[in-house]
Amino acid sequence: MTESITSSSIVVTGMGIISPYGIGPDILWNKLLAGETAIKPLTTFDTSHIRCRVGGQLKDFNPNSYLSPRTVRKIDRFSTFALIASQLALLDADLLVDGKKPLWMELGHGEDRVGICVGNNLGGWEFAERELRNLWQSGPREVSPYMATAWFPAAVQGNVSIQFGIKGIGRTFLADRASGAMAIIHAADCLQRGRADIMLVGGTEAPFSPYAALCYETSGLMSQQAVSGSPTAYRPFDATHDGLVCAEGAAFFVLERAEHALAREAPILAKLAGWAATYDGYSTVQPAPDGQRYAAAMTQALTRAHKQPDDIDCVFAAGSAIPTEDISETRAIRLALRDAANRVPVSTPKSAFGNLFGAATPVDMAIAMLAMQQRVIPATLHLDQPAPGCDLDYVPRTPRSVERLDTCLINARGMGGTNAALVVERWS
Amino acid sequence: MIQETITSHIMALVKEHTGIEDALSPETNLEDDLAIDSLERVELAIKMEKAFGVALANSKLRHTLTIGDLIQLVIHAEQDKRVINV
Repeated sequence: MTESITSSSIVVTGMGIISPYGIGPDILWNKLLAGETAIKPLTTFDTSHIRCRVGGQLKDFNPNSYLSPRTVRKIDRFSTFALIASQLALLDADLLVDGKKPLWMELGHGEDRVGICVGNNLGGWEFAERELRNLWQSGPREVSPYMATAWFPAAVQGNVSIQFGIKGIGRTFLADRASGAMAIIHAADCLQRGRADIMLVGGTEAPFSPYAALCYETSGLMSQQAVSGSPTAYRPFDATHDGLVCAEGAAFFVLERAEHALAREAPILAKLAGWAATYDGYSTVQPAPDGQRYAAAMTQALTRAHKQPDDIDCVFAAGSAIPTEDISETRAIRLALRDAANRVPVSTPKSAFGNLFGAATPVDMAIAMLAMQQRVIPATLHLDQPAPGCDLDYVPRTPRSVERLDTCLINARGMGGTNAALVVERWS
Repeated sequence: MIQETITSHIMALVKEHTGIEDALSPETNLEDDLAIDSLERVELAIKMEKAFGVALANSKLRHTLTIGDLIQLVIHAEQDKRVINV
């Protein structure tokens, strides 16, 4: 296919999730509806050097249950998450023959029309820190040769593409908490431009190691009240908000043009109707307080989706719980949705399990799709009293059943002024 | 160390390292039969260095294709060690 922008709908045909609650969408959804938090005191390393001592950490996870020990020792935890989530997404999309080998590998052709986009923020610091300790303590012969391939953010793209024989487009996006959104946007663009027929796309993050946690701590994004080990420290839009709590996991999707998905009789889970990204051009750390460029991302995503603000049934906010970001996000939503902002629910379910940074938007997108299936909006936990300047309907504390939940706006933003928005729609 | 001992020791190391239970022979190809790539060869070589108390030169390791080549690499390294000790 020559490159030309098509008007095809982009659809989601597979989804794979690893959240701090466990593996798969069911446990994520059930725990969210039960209002159960996955934020717990960090136990895998000494946290005395940081204040944010809680996180959405996946407990009792044994990678050897999913991958061979030979594979596990060559890769970091963030690649492990991505490999498992990718496999689940491909399986969900009916693209694995006998649950194992992708269709294109089995057929021996078409692999150059399959691409991968990955969002990540940190890279594989658990692996890197262990090997750096070996270097300083025992010398270079004790450093795993896989240090060369395991730790850097694009390692995931390499590992997944090798595992599943993906030979088309490959890209990795680093844009702080918007990394996953940027990956999804690029994957959708590639499909619309005819550069690929199938895109495996998502995000992954494994932020729990001493150095990685320290980097986050010094970023100024993290909740300081988490020093007490409180599971309620992540409080988007609440009067006592003071930063986020991070989490680990991954979410991956299979995206296709609708006609491609229909031709192979694939299950269609949702339509990715719109997407856009803008930049603040304001500060390396702070978001632009006026929210105008953030609002522009939302508006452009709505325009691409051929939607008006009144068509939006729910906004899944970035909800960082950093006071300046909560206020400017509220402002941006008001600018983008205008009068509709007075009635559209704006939820941040990730307050229950943490912010997955590079995987934050993919997990939000998964939740939005599950919410549309169930017509239930998961709640923003730990929102007791809205902060001054935060005056939207944030779906506090308890989930909300709604009659119509067909179109969702998903927001993302990252340090450095990255703004992104996705519109996800029920497929019919 | 006699050649049979080195051979059986290396076979056991490779099996433990790869998790592959199939029978191995000196002709077993590291890449084609065991999917041992260049990085994994380095990892395996470090285990062999510790097991046999020898130093294996990366330049020679790069040219190993089979388990037999690994065996010869260790045998030569042991001989070099003896020469140095003498």
